[in-house]
Amino acid sequence: MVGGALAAPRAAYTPYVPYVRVLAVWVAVLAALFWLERAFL
Amino acid sequence: MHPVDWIVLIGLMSWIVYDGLKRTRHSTELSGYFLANRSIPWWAAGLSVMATQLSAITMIGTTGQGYTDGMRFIQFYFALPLAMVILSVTLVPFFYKSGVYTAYEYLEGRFDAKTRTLTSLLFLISRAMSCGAIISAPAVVLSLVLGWNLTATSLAIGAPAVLYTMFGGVQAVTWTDVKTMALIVVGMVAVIVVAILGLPEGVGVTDGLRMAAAVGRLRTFDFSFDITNQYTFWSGTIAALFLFCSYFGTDQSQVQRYLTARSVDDARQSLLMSAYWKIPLQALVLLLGIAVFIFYVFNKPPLLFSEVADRKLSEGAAAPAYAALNAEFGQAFEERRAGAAALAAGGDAAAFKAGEAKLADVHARARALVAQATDDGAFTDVNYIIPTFILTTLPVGLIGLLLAAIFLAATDSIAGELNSLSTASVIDFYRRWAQPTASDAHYLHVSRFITGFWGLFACGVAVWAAELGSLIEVVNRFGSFFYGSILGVFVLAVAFPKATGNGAFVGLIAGMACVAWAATFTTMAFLWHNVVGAVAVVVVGILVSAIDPARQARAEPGR
Repeated sequence: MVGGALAAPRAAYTPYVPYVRVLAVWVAVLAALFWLERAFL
Repeated sequence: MHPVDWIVLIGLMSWIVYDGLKRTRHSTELSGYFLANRSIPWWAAGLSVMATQLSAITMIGTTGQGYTDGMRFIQFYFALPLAMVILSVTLVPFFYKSGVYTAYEYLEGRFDAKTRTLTSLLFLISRAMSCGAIISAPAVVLSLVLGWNLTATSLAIGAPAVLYTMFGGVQAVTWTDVKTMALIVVGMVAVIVVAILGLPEGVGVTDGLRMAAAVGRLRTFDFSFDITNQYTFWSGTIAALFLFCSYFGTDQSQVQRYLTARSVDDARQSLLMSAYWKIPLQALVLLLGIAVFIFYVFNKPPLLFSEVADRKLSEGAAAPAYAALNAEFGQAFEERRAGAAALAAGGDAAAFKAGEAKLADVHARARALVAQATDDGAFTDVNYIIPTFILTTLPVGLIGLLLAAIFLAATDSIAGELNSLSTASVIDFYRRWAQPTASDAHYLHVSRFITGFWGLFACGVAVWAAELGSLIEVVNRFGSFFYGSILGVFVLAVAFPKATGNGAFVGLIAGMACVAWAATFTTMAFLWHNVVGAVAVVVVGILVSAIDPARQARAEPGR
């Protein structure tokens, strides 16, 4: 049901690489914040 | 203020407004006025999305929060990149390809006119009130700090926005946002540099960060699962996910930004720009507050950053008690400074932490004195910290630049909201119900008039709201009534083909009722209200749709 509703308007292939890149940067930013929290204690 | 600062402030604001007005030649038709003829490059649309979110409340309030509380608030934004990915895959292509002007216009095709109208009406109410709050919050602070009349300050913020939005439409708004973002980032970096340069010989950035860490200012992650606590990792990644999906996916002020993009991919790219940059930008905002905190470890701050509160206590019945507190404050400051110097020289943090605790205690007692003297139990001087630093510490010229950044941060947020209020008013109400067959020129004329109306309304709310103190909080909580529920309607629309208009309509009302119940009878942090609203709308919507006779007769559009 959900897959059908979401697949219908996507006439062209949707590349997922940009989204994987976003998630990778997100993890990196969280890691940087975690480092900042600990590095100066 | 020094004449140079006046020149810089007025010059920058005039240039940016003038440049916005120059765009009017491209805004002579409805599609140009509301959607920029889909000509905006992705990076400009992306910066406009970010600028609409970065108001003067961020420049003044969030930086102040960084000073007093540190990095914890950044957890609120953890879900934003996830929301952008979800929206890029789901709602963005839906809206872009449907050719709509407003997000709610899509709902009529999918459901019915009453669902569209109710959703758009909720948007108008919550956005109009938040417009007033966006003007009021910085206007109150700036009018006190600069000694300006409150109405004049509100107009100084609202009038430029109304002008270039009225005549230039979304193109003026977008390109003004681009310049303002550049000015804001330059301004914030300048403040951090000045704060660091104000540290004494022998104290470097790493020493400052060690001091900040010692008193918890660098603490970012709170993994406790406490539903009453607004700032935890879980509220930031789960509850805020619903808020951001609703805000960036269904709120017209954001949807209109990416509808101006040149293609679906450009629209996606503009959202993903926020996904990359929002958290680092927010980190910069909070680190600015922390840099100012470190500055004031070595340079004595006032006991109360609010000059009005300081004057009230110094001249009133509490003057002797306040004088004693000031003396204690001076002593505690010296102890903390000595402890900081010892820490910077390689010693431990115990003396510094003790000094900080003493200072915090004196400050809390001063705030209690203010509460007693003014009957304002919620008094806080958090919003006066950064404006005070700007006016007393920055060199001439930079003061004008930072004030321009703060005013323009408010102005461009309001401009984006005014433009979206005008769009929804004209497209979802005037064109839909009153005059469905008039010419583009007529709708354009009405749009400009309505923009002016909402601008005046927002300025009026701002001046009135200033008397109500906690209205900002009321507006935020009011918004949380709607965001989750509106998201639920769009989830029903996109993910549940068998959902009907009646199901969505009843679900929306049920969602808001559930949020009202949660707000009244539970201590749930209001971020979680978004989850309650969205889930309630979807569940009730599905159930009502299941028994709705219209279900069999309705065919979804575009299939």
